[in-house]
Amino acid sequence: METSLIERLDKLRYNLLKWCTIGWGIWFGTFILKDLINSPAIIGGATWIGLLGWLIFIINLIKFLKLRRELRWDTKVKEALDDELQQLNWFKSSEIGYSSVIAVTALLFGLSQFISIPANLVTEIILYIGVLSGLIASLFYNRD
Amino acid sequence: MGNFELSNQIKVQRAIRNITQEELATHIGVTRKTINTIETGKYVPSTILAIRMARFFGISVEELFTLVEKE
Repeated sequence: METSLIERLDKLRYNLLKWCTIGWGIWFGTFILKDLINSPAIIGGATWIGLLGWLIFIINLIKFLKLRRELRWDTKVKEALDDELQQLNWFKSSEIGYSSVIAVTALLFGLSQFISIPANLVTEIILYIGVLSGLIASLFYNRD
Repeated sequence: MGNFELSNQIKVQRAIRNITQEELATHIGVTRKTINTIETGKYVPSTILAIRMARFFGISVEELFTLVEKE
């Protein structure tokens, strides 16, 4: 039996989200690593790996946004793809992302009472964990 | 409320009509994942979706979904 358009687009969306997560994880992970470790060898390697992660993230993010834009006028397909289960999954993923931000902020705040942590590093870690946990949760809830 | 769970006849109704989850999803206007999670009892659909599914099968909502008491 031929796979329906909705099913194909749903799979495509899931794959784009998966590669966005991988790209974000690599790119921002290496970005933080460079701030943590001051070794020139590690910084050099991390820059190239980070660039690869950035490319993966940006390419898939653009594809993802293009897909949403293309479906803007096709109300029937758009409604089917963003059905009530999908909306619930987005909501649950956002909730996890938000909770992670609160938890990491509290943890870093607690740590800052004992050691000095640079403000930009704190911001980067919060952003990294918040986005990554939201994306991973979304992949988990939307898995087959 | 915690002592009840929602049971459904979607799989039976699909078998009677010989249609796949994907075909049902296309007719109803949702993804196959949604049909799958409802069928396996992981997700409780909204009243609107439940009525749409019952209408598709030509039966009442209570025939398609039944509330059963847990042991």
